[in-house]
This record gives sequence, structure tokens and C-alpha cells, in this order.
Amino acid sequence: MKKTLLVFFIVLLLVLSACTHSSTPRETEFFAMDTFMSFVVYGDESFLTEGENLIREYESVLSATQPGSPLSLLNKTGTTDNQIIIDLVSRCSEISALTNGYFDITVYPAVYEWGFTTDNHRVLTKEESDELTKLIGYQKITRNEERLTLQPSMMIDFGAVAKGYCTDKLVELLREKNISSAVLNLGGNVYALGRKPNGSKWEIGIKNPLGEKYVGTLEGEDVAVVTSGAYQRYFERGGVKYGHILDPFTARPAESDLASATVIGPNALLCDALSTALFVMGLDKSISFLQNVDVQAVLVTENGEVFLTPGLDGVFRSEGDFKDKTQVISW
Amino acid sequence: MVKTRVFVAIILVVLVVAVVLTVVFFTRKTEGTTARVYVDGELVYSVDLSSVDEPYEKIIETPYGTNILKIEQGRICVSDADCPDQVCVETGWLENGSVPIVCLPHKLVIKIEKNGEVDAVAE
Repeated sequence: MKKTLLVFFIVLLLVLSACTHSSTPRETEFFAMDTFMSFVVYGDESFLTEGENLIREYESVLSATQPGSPLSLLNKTGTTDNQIIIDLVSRCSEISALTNGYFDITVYPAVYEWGFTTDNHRVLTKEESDELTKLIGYQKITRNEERLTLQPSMMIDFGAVAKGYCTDKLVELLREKNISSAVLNLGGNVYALGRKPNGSKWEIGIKNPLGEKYVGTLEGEDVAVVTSGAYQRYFERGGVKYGHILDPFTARPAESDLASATVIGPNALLCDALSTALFVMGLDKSISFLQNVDVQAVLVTENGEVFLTPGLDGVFRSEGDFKDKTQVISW
Repeated sequence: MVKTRVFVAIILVVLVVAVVLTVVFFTRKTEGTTARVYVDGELVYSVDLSSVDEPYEKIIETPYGTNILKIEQGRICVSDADCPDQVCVETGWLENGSVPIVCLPHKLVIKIEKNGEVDAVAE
């Protein structure tokens, strides 16, 4: 009988510990990097504040709009020895080479002149934007391990990669803390770590860029899911919409036939940069580019058609009107 | 022997109560019809959307500007705002917990408790 008692106590203990341990999500939400972020973590609660602090530290270095940040100083003086910036520029240059320049952090002088950082929007003339293209080009950055130098009037900006870069740093922190189940959402840049505590994969929606709700959902574990589109940040003049993603070759808002491009893969920085590049490339160039790169993608055209890379066949489920307009790319 | 049986009975009762409480706690949490409005992380307004009979408007004054909310049975949206980007207005109706309405310039967030649809939305 004493044994039975013991068993009851053990069961009771297990039930109670299950309530307080890993099955209870720890959550935090905050504004940073000009967007809204949230973490959901199953495990060590200390991640929440440490993760937020990590973001704020990187923001203070990588912000192009905070006067006095190391990046602002670089854009002002043309040179820096900040190791975080040098490291990130080197990663970005690799991705620029991979995308044949469709992704380029040196597009910033144009972003600035179009007013996307200040909200003083202005439509540039063709002459003005042509002049600006002379300042754009990742190959014009000179750097070694200790120092990075820009040419006169050149400026860089990490708007297209900072959230992805921070996501990768947060994932490192999660792993250091032995957390095996979490979802990070940095302003729509999502990373799903491991699986849910009940053993199923995380379900991630992709926002419908043409209306409400989702294009569809996908199941994932240990993946970043990053979407780029001009549907959220743009301005209108004379009935024309000018999106915030600029084409490095024209220094004008990308005239893309895509409404959004979503990239799925293990590395958030790469996904972040590639989603921007794909959006600028447009549908046809994106499809041929994706044949040689080890990521998955969901491309949504302005006409509401959805193109999936073969790896998403059976993983991505389109919703509503998109069901009949979804196809898997075959090369 | 009788004493032990009483003990076992008490433990059983405690166990059953614990399980019932857990179930009640978790199901109540997943119902999720309450919309909550936060400014700069502070709760400024909340409403049970299931008990809204007549649609109405609610004006939220933030230190950064004004947002006008439209509230109907089961849903909520920002119908007007004096923010520069209008993203909150264009987000449209919020009916479930997956994506909050966010007005960055006014640091305003409207959320409905998660009802288990998706875990995150890439946008």
C-alpha cells in the first residue's frame, strides 16, 4: 500500500511539474529596429530579456538613422574599424556576388533621397536617379580585416539584413541556453526553432500581399521564413505607388511583377537578403536564380499566382483563392 | 489499513481536481475573443468581442497621435489614424490571434489572444 501511495505522489508531482516546466510558453513583445518583435520560448526564461538586449545592442551599432551610431559615422566619415560592421559587410558582399548585384547594401543614398528613412517622400527625376546609380555598387567598398572604407558620398544600410542577422544571433543564444523550442518574430521575419512541445512542427503563415489573411501556411522546424514585398512600406504620388525596395541598377523603386517573395532556409540572414533580391529580380529571373541556390521560396505575383520551389511541394498549403493558382516550379 | 485508504482517496481527489483545473485553465485560454490594445507596451483598452451587439468606435489618444478603432461582433480594426504610413488602417480587420495590428509610429498594438491558428506569420 505504501508503494501505491508513492506512485500517486510521483504522478502528482509529474502532473504539476509539467504545468510549470517546458509546456508553458514564455513570451515577450517590444518595439525595436523600427518594427514590432515577439519571442515565444519554451524553456529558460532568461532568454527573453537577454535576447531583447542583444537586439538593442546590435541596433545601436547597425542603425543608419540613429545619429552617432557606428554605421551613421561610417556613412558620414566614409570609414570604420567596427568589427560587427566589417563582418556584416563581408557577408553581404558574398550575397551580392551570389545575386549578381540584385541585393546591394550600397543602395542607401537612393533610399535616403527617395525619403524612405525620413518619411519626406519625393519622386526623383530620371536624371537624379541615374546620377545616384554611380554611387551604388558593393565592389566599390574597400576592406580588410581591420578597416572598411567607402568612396566619397557612398552610404550603406543594413535595413534588408539586420533583422535576419539578429535572428541568427538569437538562435545561437537559444542553443547556448539549451532551448529546443521557440518562435522568434522580428517584424515579420520568422524563425521557428525545433518543434512545438507536443512534438508537431510549427505552423507559419505567409501574409497575403494582395489582401487579407494568408497566401497559405507551411510546417517547419529549424527554419527562417522571411518575406519581402512593397505592400507594407510605400508612398503614393499622382496615383502611382512607390515601394520601399529599390532596384540597385536604377536607383528607383523596383518595378517588380511580384507582390511578395518569401525565402525559407536555415540561415535567416541569407533568407532576409535573398527575399529582397528575388523581389527586385521579378518572377522570371527569380525562378532561374532559385535553381542553383539551396533555399526554398514562395513567389506571389501581382496577378495572385503562387510559385513554389519543389522542396515545398506537400509542405506548403495554399489557402482560399490561392488554391487554384499555386504551381510548383519545374526547371 | 483504513488510514492508508483514506490517504489514497485524498490523493485521488487532489489529482482529479488538479487535472480538472488544468483543463479549465487551458481551454479558457484558447477561447480568445478578447481584444487588447497596448500603447508602448501598456494595456490601454480591452474588449470582449463576442459580446459586442452594436458596432461602435473607440478613439485611442497616444502620446504620438490618434487611432480610431472600429469594433464589431467578433472583430476589430483601425478605421482611421493620423500616422504617416497608414499601415494600421490598411491591415484591415483583426479576427484571430495570429497577426496583431501594429501602428509603429504610435507604438500601438492590438491583439486577440491566440486561438491556435498558426504560430507566426511571415510578412
